Amino acid sequence: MTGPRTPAASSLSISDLAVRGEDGRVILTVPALEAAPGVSLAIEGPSGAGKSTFLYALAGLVTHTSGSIRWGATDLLAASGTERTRFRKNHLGMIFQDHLLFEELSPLANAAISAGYAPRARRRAIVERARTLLERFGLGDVEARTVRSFSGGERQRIAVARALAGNPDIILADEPTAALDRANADRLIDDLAGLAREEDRTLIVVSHDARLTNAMQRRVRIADGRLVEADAG
Amino acid sequence: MIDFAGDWWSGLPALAQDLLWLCLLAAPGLLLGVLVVAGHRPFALAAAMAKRFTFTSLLFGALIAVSVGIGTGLIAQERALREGTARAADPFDLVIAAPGSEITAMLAAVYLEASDVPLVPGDLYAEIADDPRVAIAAPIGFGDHLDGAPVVGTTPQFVAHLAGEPAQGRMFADHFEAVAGALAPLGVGDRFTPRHGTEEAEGEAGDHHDHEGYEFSVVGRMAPTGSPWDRALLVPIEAVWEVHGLANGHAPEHEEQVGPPFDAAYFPGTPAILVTASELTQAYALRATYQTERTMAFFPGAVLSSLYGLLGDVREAMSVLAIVTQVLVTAGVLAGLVILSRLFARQMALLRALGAPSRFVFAVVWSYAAVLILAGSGAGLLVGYGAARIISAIVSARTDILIEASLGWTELHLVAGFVSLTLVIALLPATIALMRPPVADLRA
Repeated sequence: MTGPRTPAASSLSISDLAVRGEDGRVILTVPALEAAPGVSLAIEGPSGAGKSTFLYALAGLVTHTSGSIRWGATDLLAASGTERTRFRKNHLGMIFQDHLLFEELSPLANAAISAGYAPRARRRAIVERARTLLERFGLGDVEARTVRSFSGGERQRIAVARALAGNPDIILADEPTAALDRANADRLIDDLAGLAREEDRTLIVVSHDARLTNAMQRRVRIADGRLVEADAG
Repeated sequence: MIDFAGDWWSGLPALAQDLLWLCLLAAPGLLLGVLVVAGHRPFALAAAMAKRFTFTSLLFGALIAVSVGIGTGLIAQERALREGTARAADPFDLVIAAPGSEITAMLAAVYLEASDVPLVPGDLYAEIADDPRVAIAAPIGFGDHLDGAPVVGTTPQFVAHLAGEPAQGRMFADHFEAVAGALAPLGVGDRFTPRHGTEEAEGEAGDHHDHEGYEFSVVGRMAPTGSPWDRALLVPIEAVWEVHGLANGHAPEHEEQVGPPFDAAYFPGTPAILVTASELTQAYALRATYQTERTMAFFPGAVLSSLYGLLGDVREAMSVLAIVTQVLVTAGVLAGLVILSRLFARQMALLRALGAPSRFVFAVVWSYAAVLILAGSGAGLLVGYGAARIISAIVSARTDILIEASLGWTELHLVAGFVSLTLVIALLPATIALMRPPVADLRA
């Protein structure tokens, strides 16, 4: 264990969520959504429907919101900015479409980036877990080279290792396979879904990739800024 | 309490005072650094940012280095100039000349900047030379040169006082023997015929000719003095008078004599008498005695001091301007950093999305600015030192005054204060970086 894992924190309960744009217009509504801890959930929908906005709202990064997003006992929308940041640090791992790595750092330094702001007592554990994850993902030379020399598929696996190094309860992934070829995408899906399942983590992905969304236990759909279809889960 | 603190401070050795000042000036920056990065490790990311924007970082660092270099170089150069001119004037205890400008007389006697000055007549010279408080009273004569080296007439006693025993050969003992200054273009055994006038005046209207028939042989070389006298060719004052068709300072029955005593009746006059008192305390009394209607007496060191005092305000203004320039350049650089922060806004948004505390993101941006400031300031010290050394070498070559620039406590204090101030200013781009909406930057 590298962090304060509290699986109860990974149960999701949303009610009457409304996200507004800068102009005050409602751009996303989610009347209700429930998810048990350890579930894997795909968010589908056309481009511009509000999928990524929903994901960012689930991370507490969106400001103009109403309703509630409850992760376990924490109502993220009622929390202060500092509390949201602390929640992300302790419970969330995020993966982005274009990896967003520090090109000048090694894979290990990128994967263990949270060691830079973690309490001193957790730093070593974060680095060790990052190293273990990179090995599991088949990445060698993780300290000597910078990530610039790694392929797109390898970089995305480094980004996955970064999301998991802090031992989060919840993983949020925004189009993680969109920039990958089929072979690399398939490998990433296996790694990500496999790890989430093995370690009983809640995994929520936004994706157009049918292979990825099919690998999730549940799927919901967003269209025109509204959660229009939630499966039974 | 204030008196006690003042007494305590003035009781400290100069080194301790300088060290304490340095600590005091650096403390705000250090303290700020500790406060900003405490508990976090932002330096790897700050270094990654510097690498990503290598050219921009180098450019900004160079701008800081140049501005710090200008400030420190200016101070180091000014001090070196002051010390060099003071060192050159050091052997000249007291100068007695005909009434006029002390500065003109000092420039002529000490720095060999020849100019038309009235002469001190023989009876006055005799009175001074016979004064029991006077150890050396050396007349000087100039107005000739050889390839840019002034030919200066004086006495063997004064040459020995100025530079000690010759480093090579011996002191002149005959009217047409010479001792070359340490940097003079001739060596022992060389012979030369002086040319009338100064090299600077060549080409201007006036009498410029070689003193045909008067050939000097160099019999010794002086040890270096760090003054324009190092470039000079020193000959007996008697010879200078003789080549100009004047009496040589001695009665015909002693016409071969070199050095004092001189006969007032055969003394053609001298622009200045270089006086060394038999005891240091007598120098003040001598100055008082010869501060008359017919003569002026002055300490070159005191004239330099008043000259520095006169220029002191200019120096202060230059120092303030140098600091203002540094702060303005740094403010410009930091304004650039604010703009640059847009380039790495995605990385900062990523950190915030990953749950990095605001203080960590703040520390990363501030550390990046701090790296530029510290590296630029360190390089600036070297730039300033290098520039001062180069300028010193040029000034030394042009004036023959040994100017040696070095880094001193003042420059270190300036840089420490500058670093502290700019590290505080660097809080601004770090604050601005935090104000950006992370979602917009993540989607950018």
